[in-house]
Amino acid sequence: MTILLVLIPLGVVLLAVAIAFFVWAVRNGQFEDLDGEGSRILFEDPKS
Amino acid sequence: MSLAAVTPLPEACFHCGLEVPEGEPLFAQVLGERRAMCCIGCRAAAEMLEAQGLSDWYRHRASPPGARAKTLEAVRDESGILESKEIEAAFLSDRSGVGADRRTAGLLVEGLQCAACIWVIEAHLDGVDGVEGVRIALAERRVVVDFDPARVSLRDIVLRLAEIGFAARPDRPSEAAALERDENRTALIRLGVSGLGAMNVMSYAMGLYVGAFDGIEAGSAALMRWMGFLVATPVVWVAGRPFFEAAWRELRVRRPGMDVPVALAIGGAYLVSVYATLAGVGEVYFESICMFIFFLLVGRYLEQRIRQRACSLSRSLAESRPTIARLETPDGERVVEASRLRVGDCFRVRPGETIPADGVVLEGESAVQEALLTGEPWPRSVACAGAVVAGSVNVSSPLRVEASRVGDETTLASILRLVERAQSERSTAMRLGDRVGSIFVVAVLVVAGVNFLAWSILEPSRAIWTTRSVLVATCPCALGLALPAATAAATHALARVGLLVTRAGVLDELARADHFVFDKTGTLTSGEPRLIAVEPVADTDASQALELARHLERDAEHPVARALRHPRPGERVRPLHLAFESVRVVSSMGVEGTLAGHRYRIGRPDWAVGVDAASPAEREKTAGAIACPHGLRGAPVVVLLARDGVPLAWFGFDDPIRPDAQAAMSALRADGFSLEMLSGDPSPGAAKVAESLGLAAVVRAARPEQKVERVQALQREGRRVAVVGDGVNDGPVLRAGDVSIAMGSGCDLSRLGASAVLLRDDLSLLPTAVRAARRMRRIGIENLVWALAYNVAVLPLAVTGHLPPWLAALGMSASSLVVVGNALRASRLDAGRGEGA
Repeated sequence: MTILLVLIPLGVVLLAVAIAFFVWAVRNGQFEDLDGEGSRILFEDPKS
Repeated sequence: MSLAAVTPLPEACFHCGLEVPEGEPLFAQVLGERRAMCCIGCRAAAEMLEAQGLSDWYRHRASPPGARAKTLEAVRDESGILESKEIEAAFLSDRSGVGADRRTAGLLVEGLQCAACIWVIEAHLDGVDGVEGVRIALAERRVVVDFDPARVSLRDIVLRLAEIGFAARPDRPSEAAALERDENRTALIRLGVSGLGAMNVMSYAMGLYVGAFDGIEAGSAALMRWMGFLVATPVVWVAGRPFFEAAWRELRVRRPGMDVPVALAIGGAYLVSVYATLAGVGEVYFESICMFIFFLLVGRYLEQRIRQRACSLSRSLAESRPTIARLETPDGERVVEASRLRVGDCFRVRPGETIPADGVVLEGESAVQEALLTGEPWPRSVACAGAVVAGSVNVSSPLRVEASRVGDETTLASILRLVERAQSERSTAMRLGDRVGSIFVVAVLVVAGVNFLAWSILEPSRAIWTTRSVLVATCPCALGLALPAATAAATHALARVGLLVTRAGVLDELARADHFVFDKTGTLTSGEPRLIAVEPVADTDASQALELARHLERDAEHPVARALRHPRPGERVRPLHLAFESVRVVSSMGVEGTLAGHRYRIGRPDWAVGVDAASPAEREKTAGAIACPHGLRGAPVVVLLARDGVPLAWFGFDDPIRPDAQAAMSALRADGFSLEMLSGDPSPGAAKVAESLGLAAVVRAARPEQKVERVQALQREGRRVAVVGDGVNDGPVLRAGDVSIAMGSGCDLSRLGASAVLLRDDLSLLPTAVRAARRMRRIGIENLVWALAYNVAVLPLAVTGHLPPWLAALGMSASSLVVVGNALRASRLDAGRGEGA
């Protein structure tokens, strides 16, 4: 089971990456408006 | 979204949904078809959207909008204030990191309703040279624009929004809002850290659980423990920090609340686990700690968001008015910010504008609508030397006013302050909850202490381990989650259907209320007059008289005029073709005009037949002469149409009862509430409203103090009173009630005083809310009973040393899960007739 010695710390590293990404997203205002963004997929690009 | 679903009725304007008048019809080519338009403004807007390829807005919008908020001219006029660079600068802020030549401005936008609005605003502003970024917060009705002031001005942006039908108001970057945003972000980060951490720690714990049965290498077990320690530590110290801080605050003021046992549970379990990790013996509880923190944070976050939304909505509305004033200066009239007015300044108020400061009328005669302060829709007439208050709307003709109180001194501001103070007080239920919590905490500590002492004497080697078992077993995790989880579930569910709770503990109070008190105007009734009868005099034709009245009142903004113009049921609107000449609005009297050599008047009966401004005694005499027809005696408002002083027809208006009121009242009665109406209206119409709704006791109390007294008298009888109202004059009554609910369409200030706000004007939400609150309370009690029973049941086992720590931890987690699962039931709402209590 020595593989655990590699895999579990690796998991912790991934967790740290995930948390860092989440913190970045929050600070960047990605969660400010949860109502409007959901509908954005329905909009077509403005015809130019 | 199919197009058919959003297309208004065939007779309605495709753009705004208003009825299309007959006569020369207007059409615009939208989405490949010819669509009817009600007016030139709508056609222009539709054509502009089409020309820019933005007509998909009609596809995306969730509902046809109501009446247009403001005309382009009105917005152009009001936004003139922004031409001054100094004033514009006050609304701008530098956003760090966006570059030196970029500024950010916030705009409060009226009529922002759905995702389609977001789309059309973004698409429309994106095409403007100089605009570099647009962000929209739908819930707060805020649009934030980044732009380059050298290339485009804030006023241009406001005008661009007006072109597509949105009235925008610049909003000062407020510190409270920034603080709120930071708070939200911190809470969200804590939530994320604890959630992600909990999932990982749980996987290590599973390894340990399974290993305990199947055999696990000592090395692997140690690895799992250390990893748990590594991940749980930031969760406890970052995500769990608010609990420790709150507990410390509570201990310092010697009033331990629920945060103390929570902090104790987290801290205690953490220390024990750390000890076990270091020593390499015993159990670790890292996963329980993380899950516990995560669940608690979810509940708190939801509650906080809903409360903030309720507050920020009404706060921003209250703050944003009144914003401009037309100051008189030696070199003419100048538009300035209302906050720059000084006592003694003279300012002018045009019809339709908001009065910027308390003051005394110097010149002019008009009517002011004080719905913001009184909730009363009927304008009050003012003349020279009369007093006006800030926040009311000038209805009919221009006024010149000398400011007597400005800024923070105005009546409006002082009411706001009163309401804020009332809000900061804690409810009795909350204090009770705190006391129970403290008792429990003290009890746990005493038991643990006694246990430690007893074992120290009997068998010192087992003292630490049994004490730890006692602390884990009696861990108030489930107890701590019992009420907050149920409250969060119910609060969130109600917010989704339109009832915003603004303070903690409101649902609990609502569940215990047994008596409802309603305001009349604007609460049980719609607050807008409705034409109920036309009584022609002698041989006049009723429909012809109505036609004349409509033409005469065509451009008047009085509520009665609006009611006259509104089509009656089953009636088709005909185009307005008669051309009255020299139409004049006489304030608080009516409207007059000339047609084919005859002078027509509609308005107060005595005035209509030609007794202008007579002495009161004389007026009374003529009032007797022109007797109101019998059929209209009960109507609260009666106007007379006259030609050359000869009465033609009487029009009676009432204030219609809301269509949903009847059903809501019977549902509430079925749920065991006693209902009553408190009204300041002395007319028989008020009694009729109460009678038709079956409200038992009508107390006609004229003044707010009397209403408050009535509520207090009920409370002395042991009733728990819920108050529903809408005006600021209801503010004191709303505060006196054990729980208070403000109507969404009521004035924005009354919302501040209320503990809950109905976002939709739908009284049927009340029974739904009451049932949800009662179910929440029952579930909360179930949870408490369960958690306490569990703790009490395992306590003897733990004290006597018969509870292995892993079982204690498992039981604790299971107990918490049961509580959370049960709490989720509180989010189910029944709209119809469901279980009562």
